Amino acid sequence: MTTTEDRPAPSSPAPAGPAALLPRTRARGVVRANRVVLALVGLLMTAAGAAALAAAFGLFGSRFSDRPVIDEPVTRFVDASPWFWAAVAVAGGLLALLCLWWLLAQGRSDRVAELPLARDARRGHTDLDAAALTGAVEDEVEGYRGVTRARAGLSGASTAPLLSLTVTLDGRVGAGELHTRIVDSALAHARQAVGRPDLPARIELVLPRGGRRDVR
Amino acid sequence: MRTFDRVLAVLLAVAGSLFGVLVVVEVVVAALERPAVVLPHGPVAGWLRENPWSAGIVIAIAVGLLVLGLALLLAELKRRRRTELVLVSSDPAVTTTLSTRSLARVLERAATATPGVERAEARARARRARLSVHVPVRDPAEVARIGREAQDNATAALESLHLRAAPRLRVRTRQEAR
Repeated sequence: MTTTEDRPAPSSPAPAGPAALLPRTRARGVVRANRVVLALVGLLMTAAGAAALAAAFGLFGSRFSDRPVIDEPVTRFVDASPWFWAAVAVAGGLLALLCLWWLLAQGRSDRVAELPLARDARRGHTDLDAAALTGAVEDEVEGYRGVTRARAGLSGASTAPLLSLTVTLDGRVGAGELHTRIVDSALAHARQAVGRPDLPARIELVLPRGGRRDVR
Repeated sequence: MRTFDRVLAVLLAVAGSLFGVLVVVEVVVAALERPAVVLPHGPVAGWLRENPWSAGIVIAIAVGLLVLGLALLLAELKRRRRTELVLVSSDPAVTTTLSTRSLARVLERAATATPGVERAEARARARRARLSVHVPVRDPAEVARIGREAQDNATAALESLHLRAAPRLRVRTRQEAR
């Protein structure tokens, strides 16, 4: 037997802001660049495949499909153009440079390594190692009941950082309850440490498959 | 998709860089009237001079290019699904999210905590969540009662998350008589 029941979404006053977001990334520009370049590669492959099929099925003339892929006029053109191979070499060099830029871009991120705490021309500067702050936040959150792992990071600009926190839960404590505790304790302590009471934060709660199950 | 894009980007960037450098090397080597270093451009050009556009192998390559290119293009143009559900926060500077996968785990755990439920499977999206509850009991009335209890538990778990917009929950109870 199978029974199905629908339950409408719990009704609550709709707060401002989006109900769902894309997963967080430390390299939004790289994600966008990858998407654009791969779409262009796909477009080029599609166009090349479609053009070759059009040639094969006689869309460029019935006799064209029986011609070799590189036929005489092409060979004559290459032989008559002394600049042709130089242009090919330049194109190859440009391709290599573009691909190298694309490869190096994959390692980019907006991670913040240090936070300026004090700037004084006479007394000098005081910077806080971001790892010290994120390590303390991770240790505090991992000490909460219901948390198996916490990973923190600072991103954005050192003058306007964003604290990112990924918290893996074990299911013993509700996500809503842990959210409140993280904001009221760990985040409040982090804000106090850096002297920024308005330090923005993005917290991702993760409940993996498996792990602890309720004992009945 | 981002991970797939990143891996594909690295592979294509490495391949493109190597190919570009090799093209420059081969052009220079050919200008010096020396044999090819790596790229077999002579045999490839010869093969292209021998085969017409209508040759089976040329058509097969064209179809392969078209299919792969279309798949890549559509995958990149497809709108990315928003999978991180936002929790209500009293602090406007804090955004807390729970992935739809994690929400499915929350619903499964709430349902399996119900006495009489053997197992539960859930799938969640931003607007809709489906929970399938398996009850190994013969009595249909008892199955319906356990199903309702599992649904109440799942709904309570969903409400306790305080999502900005909770998805509509659909629960299916399956009788699995032993």
